[in-house]
Amino acid sequence: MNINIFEEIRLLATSYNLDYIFKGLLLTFELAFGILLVSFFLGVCLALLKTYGGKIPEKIITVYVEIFRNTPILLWIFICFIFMPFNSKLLRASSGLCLVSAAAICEMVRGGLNAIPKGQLEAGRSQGLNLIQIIVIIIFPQAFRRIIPNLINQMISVFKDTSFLGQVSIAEFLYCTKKIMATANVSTGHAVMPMDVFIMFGFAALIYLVINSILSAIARTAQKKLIAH
Amino acid sequence: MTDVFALWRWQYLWNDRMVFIKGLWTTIIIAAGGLMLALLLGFTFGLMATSRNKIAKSFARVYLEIFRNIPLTLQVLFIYYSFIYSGVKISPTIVGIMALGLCIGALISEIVRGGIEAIPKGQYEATAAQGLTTLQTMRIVVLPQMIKIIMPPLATQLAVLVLNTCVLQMIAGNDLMYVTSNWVANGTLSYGPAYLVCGLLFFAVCYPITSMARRQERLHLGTRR
Repeated sequence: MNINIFEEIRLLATSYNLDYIFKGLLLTFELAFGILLVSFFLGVCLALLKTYGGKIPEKIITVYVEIFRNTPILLWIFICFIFMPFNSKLLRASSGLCLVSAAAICEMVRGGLNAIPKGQLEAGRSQGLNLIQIIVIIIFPQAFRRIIPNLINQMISVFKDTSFLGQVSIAEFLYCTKKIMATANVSTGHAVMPMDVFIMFGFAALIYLVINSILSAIARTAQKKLIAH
Repeated sequence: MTDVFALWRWQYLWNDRMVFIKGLWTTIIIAAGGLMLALLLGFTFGLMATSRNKIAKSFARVYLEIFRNIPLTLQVLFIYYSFIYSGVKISPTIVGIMALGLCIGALISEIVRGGIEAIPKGQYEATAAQGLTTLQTMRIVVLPQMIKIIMPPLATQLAVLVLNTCVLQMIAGNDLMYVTSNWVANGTLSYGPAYLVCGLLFFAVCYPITSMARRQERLHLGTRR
């Protein structure tokens, strides 16, 4: 059987398939964005509590971070998928990723907060500001600037990790691509060939590669600016 | 919800304990194989990234960008299904070693590059002045110093490697994550004990590695200050 690769791509690119994959990609974007937003908020709260919250919260949050750093992401997706008290399948599955990502962001923000000299806190105190004012006005903006490159890298990992959600049958990008690949015979009219695997997964790889390369280029530029600063 | 951790579920799990032990063993085998491949690739491409040869440098760069920016899940599926649809019955363990080795190898190459570049330029000039070849320079001067710098991040990558064996769940890899979810789905739906045991096993393997890496890192930073 001799089939031209361009012919194969034309056969695979039916409007139904394209629409299906595009929807998956859109869902992946939405998921990544939502997870980042929630986990950033969670991570910042945890980091602030750990740095300024006293001994007991510090211990608890250290344990939280250690647990999530030393167990696989997929396990948390499964656990949250079953035990989280949300009605929506999407929310339950993505909350697992939120927890994992929050632990990572917590460590980043804490590193950023620690890099701010102690004297600034004392200076703020001497101006009569309370702790919350000092954090919001003085410390956090500086810490945030320091961690921007790390945050962009976290964006890349979250974007990649959304592909785990296909394991609990969330129709994200990779899940859709795999499904089209496995049922390629419907659109091509012959049994699935290695070429179909290359076309479909190669396409998915290209999309991931382009988006993440752009993000990592931005992260590198931000890092350079930071050092120059 | 009250009987998620009921006693009979634990007894059921205890009866099937060999399933979990075998899963952990497969995970460790895959991690060990993956680590060897990753170290090999990581050092090769790390050295290439620091060489003066433009072609070698850009080759290392392309390798890094590809395997760092494409999700491991996709890499595993790509490798597995390419073989399956070509009519080759490949074992998921081999796929795991290949995919993890390639992916973690890219991350290690970046660590190695950083380690080599952390050695002051003057030392290279000094070795050149002593008439050492590049290979001798690496072996006698650079490597002993570099090992100290790159050891902690390498250990962290080992933990990442162990944790990432869970992607083999996608291709029924018989790793710890797969046997756990499989045991749960095909049995009495004892999610509670199964996931707890799975998490504890992963934690027991990875926590010593990551905590030791962090302690070493702090020690290293301390001596340099």
